[in-house]
Amino acid sequence: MITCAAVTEASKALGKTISASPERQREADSDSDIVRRVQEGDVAAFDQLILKYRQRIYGVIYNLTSNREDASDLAQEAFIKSFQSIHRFQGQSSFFTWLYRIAVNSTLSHLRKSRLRTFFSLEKINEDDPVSRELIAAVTDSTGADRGAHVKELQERLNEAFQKLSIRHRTVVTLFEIDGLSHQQIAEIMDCSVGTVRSRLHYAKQLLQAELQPYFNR
Amino acid sequence: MNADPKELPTLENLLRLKRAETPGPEFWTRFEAELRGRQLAAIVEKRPWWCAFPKVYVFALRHNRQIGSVAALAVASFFGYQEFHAFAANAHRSARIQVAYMVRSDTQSASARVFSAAAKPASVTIPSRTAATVATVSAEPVSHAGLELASSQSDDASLRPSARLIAATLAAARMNGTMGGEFAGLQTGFEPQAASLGAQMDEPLANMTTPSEERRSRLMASAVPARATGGGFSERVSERLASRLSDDRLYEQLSRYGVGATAVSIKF
Repeated sequence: MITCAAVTEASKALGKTISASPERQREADSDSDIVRRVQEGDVAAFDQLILKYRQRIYGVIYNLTSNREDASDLAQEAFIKSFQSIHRFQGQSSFFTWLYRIAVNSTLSHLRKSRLRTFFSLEKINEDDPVSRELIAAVTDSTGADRGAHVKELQERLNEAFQKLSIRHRTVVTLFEIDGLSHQQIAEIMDCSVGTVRSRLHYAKQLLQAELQPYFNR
Repeated sequence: MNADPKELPTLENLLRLKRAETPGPEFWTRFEAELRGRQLAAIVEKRPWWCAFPKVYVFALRHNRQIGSVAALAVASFFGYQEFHAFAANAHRSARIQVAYMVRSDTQSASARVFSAAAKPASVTIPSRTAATVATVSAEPVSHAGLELASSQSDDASLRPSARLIAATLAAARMNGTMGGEFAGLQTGFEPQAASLGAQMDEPLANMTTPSEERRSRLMASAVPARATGGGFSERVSERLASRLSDDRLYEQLSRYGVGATAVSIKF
């Protein structure tokens, strides 16, 4: 029998899981102000939201499609959709989650339509970042002219392994490992439970581990 | 993250490489220009009519209680009006049935009075055919009332059980009162007497004989001597003759008849 105390404990636990961090809360508050201005007719205020989220939105879509042109089109489409339907945004979730949901759903729809037409159009890895530079050095273990070829080969193998995942598994890995979202946020964006997110993430990692095994045994 | 080159890379480290796959500044310039154009096109573009459905849906979601209340009120008003309309129609039907029964009972009492008056040959000098005509004329309202009653009974099928029961009870009560008086041959009480008096007062022409009838009866009395005896057989014969002959033929034929004290002569 479920007691009242048990329900209260469960509610507290759920509240802890759902409640956002202070940083996320501040971000959501600032977004809600901008969104309210756009809803009141200030079209220029939407540019602030574009500047704030364009890189993250593009990054997610690019990692899902592995095609920079498609990613550019889909990111613009996501912003246009959010702009057209921003009057329907009621603030029940953060604008960030809402925008991500639009972008992910648009991308999943595009991937389902063009499942048989997959080709890469990869961005160049930015080696200005010291962390990336060191990582590339550890993985390729080469210098000079061979180093660029090795980096390119590594990038292609990584994207190939990524594209072998199903769309849902790829989305979970992208949002968690690359974009750094929490399980709860991914669950909200993908409209599924946190357990489902964890299960998909575990399964996707096993597949990627098997695909990229040669790079781990160097 | 551990970026030590001497350490074996993990899957998480490899996946972090994808974070470094970022476009340059020129890409964002082009991206912003394209997005601006699409945004302006989206503002200017006329949206199709079915795009209004999500707005309606959101409005309904936000005001579902008010919309539900208004809808419930509208449905209740509709059924209430229907109920009131049906009740008013039933009341009108009941009143019509009651009037029809009243007309029927009055007419029956009047016709019964006329029949009883026609059955008294000693007090009335008009021939029996006249009485039959009067009876026929008097019977017309009865048949009309019967039709009205039949139509009312056909309307009863659409009435409610309670209304039908009330109408049937009323009809049974009226029929018992009227039929009982008829079969017993008695008009007891104030109402039947008043009804019969009213019928007499209502139709004074019914008791009058027309000039043609008087002439016919006078001629037939001179043509048929047996009529003077006042026997029932001769009366029936004269009635048959009168019914067969038209006025012109009767005048024509009477000129050929000769009446004596004990015989009738006919000229050919």
